[in-house]
Amino acid sequence: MRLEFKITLISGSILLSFVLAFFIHDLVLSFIPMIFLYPFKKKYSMPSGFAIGFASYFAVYFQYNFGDVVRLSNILGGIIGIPGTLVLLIYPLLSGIIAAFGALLWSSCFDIMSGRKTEMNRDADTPEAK
Amino acid sequence: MVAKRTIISLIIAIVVIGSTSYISTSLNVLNPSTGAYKSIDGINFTSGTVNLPGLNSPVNVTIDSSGMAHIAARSNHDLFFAQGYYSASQRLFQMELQATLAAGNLSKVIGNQGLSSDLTMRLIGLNRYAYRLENDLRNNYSTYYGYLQDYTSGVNAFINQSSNVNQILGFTLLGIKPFMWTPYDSLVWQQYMAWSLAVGSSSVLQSDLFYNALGYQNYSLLFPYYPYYTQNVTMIPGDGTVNGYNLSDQGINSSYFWKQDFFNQWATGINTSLLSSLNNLIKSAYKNITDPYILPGSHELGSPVGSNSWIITANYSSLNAPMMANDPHLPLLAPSLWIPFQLSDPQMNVTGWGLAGLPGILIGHTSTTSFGLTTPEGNTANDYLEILNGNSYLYNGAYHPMNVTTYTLLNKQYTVYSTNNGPLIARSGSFGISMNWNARTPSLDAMAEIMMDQAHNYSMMLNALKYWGPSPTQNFALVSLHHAGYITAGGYPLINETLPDGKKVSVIGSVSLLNGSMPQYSEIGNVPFKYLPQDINPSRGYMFAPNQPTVGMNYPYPFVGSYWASGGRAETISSYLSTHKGMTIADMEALQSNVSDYWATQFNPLLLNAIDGMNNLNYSERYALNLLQNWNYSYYQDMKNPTVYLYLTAAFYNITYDKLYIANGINGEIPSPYTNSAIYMARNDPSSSWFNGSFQKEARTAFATAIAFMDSRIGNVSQWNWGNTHKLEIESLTGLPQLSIGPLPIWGGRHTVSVGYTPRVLQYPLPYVTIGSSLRTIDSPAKGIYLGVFPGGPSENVLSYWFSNQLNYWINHEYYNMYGLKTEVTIVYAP
Repeated sequence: MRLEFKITLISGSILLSFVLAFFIHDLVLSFIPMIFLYPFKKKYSMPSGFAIGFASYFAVYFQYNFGDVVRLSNILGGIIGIPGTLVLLIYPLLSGIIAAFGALLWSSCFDIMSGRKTEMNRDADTPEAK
Repeated sequence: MVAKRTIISLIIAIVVIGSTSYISTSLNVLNPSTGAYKSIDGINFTSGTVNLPGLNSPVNVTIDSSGMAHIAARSNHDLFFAQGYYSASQRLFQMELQATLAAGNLSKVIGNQGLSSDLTMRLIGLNRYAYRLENDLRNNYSTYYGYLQDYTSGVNAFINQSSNVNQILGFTLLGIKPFMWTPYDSLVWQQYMAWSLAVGSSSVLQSDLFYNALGYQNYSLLFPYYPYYTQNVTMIPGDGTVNGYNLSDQGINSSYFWKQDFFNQWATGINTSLLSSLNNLIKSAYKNITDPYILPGSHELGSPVGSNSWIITANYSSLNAPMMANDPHLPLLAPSLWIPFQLSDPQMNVTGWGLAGLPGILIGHTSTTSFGLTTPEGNTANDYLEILNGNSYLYNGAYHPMNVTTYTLLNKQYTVYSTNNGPLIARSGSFGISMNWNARTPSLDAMAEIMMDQAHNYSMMLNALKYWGPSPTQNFALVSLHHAGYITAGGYPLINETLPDGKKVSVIGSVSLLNGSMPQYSEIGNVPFKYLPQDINPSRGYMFAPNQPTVGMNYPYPFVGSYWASGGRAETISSYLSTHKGMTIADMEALQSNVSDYWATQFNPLLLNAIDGMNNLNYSERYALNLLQNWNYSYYQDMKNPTVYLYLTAAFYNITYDKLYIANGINGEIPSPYTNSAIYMARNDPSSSWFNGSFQKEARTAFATAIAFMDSRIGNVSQWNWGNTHKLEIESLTGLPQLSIGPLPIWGGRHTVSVGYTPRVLQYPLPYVTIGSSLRTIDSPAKGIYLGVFPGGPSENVLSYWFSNQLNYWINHEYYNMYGLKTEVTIVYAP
């Protein structure tokens, strides 16, 4: 796989993730942008998906004053009974998990729909392998 | 063939995505885009234009550096519309939570946890009285009802802008949307505030429990009709004569009158042995109208809810102009019950504090008037013993069907039965207790408030107050350019009594249950406006109203049902004012921030005298004794003296009054007597059975107990600072400490003018101070001097600077000049 293509795919995934996080706000949809990561090996696509999912929702905090974000996280943590830092991380973590398994989902779908090869074989056949 | 591993991967992915998504739905509040974090967008005011289609003309709103909103409109319609919109923009969650609480709908929002509060609210009847009041206003006072509608439209204009609502943390946390506001919501909150300021009912029940346990002699010893040493510090100077009329004019000798036992059958229509058999019914009634969620109110015996105010005549003032000061003591909440405004249009220009959820200004001033209020502790709610037969009650020899109201909460139906005296608050077999609270008659307070806001002089203010009430009855401090005075406005229900000597007199309230089946004990109307306690421009140059007895014993309508404050603050204020002819604004500020305890000046020497001569004192005891001997009776955070005094008196009460309360089964329901009762008894009967035969012995035991407690619980003497145990918490109405302010070390004590009320208990730290000066004002309209401060800010957003921007000034007893402050934000509401 050409580098430009890889970058384009990853960029598309990042862009769509951020658009969904900032404008659609529905965490469940975090798996959708991972469709761009389908050609990658799962061992790369899942961590990448997690990172993109995590980052996209974490980035939303930066539309506010981060000091206020931390204060509010501590208040919410006090109400829920967990540390404020964890409050701050929960949504990005959930987004990351959904995105990571979204990557796995698309990858598996791709396996099924295109040649029905095992992951081992698909890895060998990807442009990257050639 | 699809590899088995791929299928498994696919299944795992779907399961994890599905389950994580499912989990996330319950955590929507944490969504950085749409959840609680959205409230960060709402922490600041933003200058600019807001389009509000309901307006007729543009309205200018400027926010000054104190957080006060100055609203300038071209008509009353636009003014109250804008006040409603602005109030909602700052306090919508608070307003809706308050209205929900008052209407008895809390359980619809928070489930079972709110049920007991709802049942209490609906039993008391706040919702029923609010509907009745709304109908009365709509049908008979359309102009003022129109103002309520304008305010309502403004609130709803805000609610309709959904992007605003999404920024409100409270709604997000509860996962609910705001309901559309109605005039009823404003009025039901008015009823709630009125109930919190009502006097009687609970205290009547408490009195009966005490009487049944310990008899009249003990009752009158601990809770005399007029608290000890308060006869010379009444709000209205003199013997109680009002507009030339008094008790003597009716041929009744006041000293004879006040010796009577008003628990007796001749006074109540109830045989005292029957009364003594009703303890369980009385306890049940007390419990049914007392809910832990309800803010503390004035209707309890020895209520900590009080207030201060005083007026200075022009002759007594260094300014040669009348002055007044006011600080109402109410539950300190975050956000505050109050919200500051200047409201101006061609018909009015008033500045001060309004209650969030109601139009107008309740405590404030115009360019020619000032007005404030405190609570007079005379009964406005009386309890009646009813004789029942099924769903009928006995009255005047015949049974009548009770009025029945049903309602449903959490899918269960409840019923409120009412007699001619009001709702039945408890029932046992053929007996019941009904509560006759004067709010049953529609109270036009919202209208009177706006009339006050529009008044230009003293007589217009008096005229406005003819419409105030009947509930809640309040001491109004009034100052105009040339006059200063007081009137206790509202309705005081009267009951005809025939004294043992056969003379008849109309009295205010009762200390005990009254016989509801006998017409002679029914309420016969209210004290005429002309004879309500009042005075203007007193010759001595000042008057004051910190909840002490309002009038002297020769008042023509004796306050039989009354539970005045101890008078400690009144003594301090009286002493200060009487020695400060030529009062300055600085003097007014000094008195309002006074933290000395008058009763401690009287009780501490008695305790020291008793402790004197104790042998074998340890280091801590010697240290504590030295603190008590060298105390100026102030309560500041860095002082150790008040800590020793508080725990000493707590230990003393523990082994005297509290012990006997427990022995007689009335602990927990009846408060301990005031310090002045203890002082009186220590001076006049030191071998009283209340002191287990020896004041000296018990004082010494208490001293040793208190110091041992402090040593073991607080630590060594270096830790004994008052602020280390005496802390302020400004609570959130949600009850969540995370949304509250504090705990913070705080000055003051239970009897200081700048109050820091805390119970007298052997507990470290002491229960937090949660009631206090909810705002402070000092005004002199003739000189254009208007100072004010309150422990909060305009915003309900816990993250906002404007949530508590005035708190430090309040804690430091500083004031904002209410005009001329820097404008921080300018907003135009455009039609």
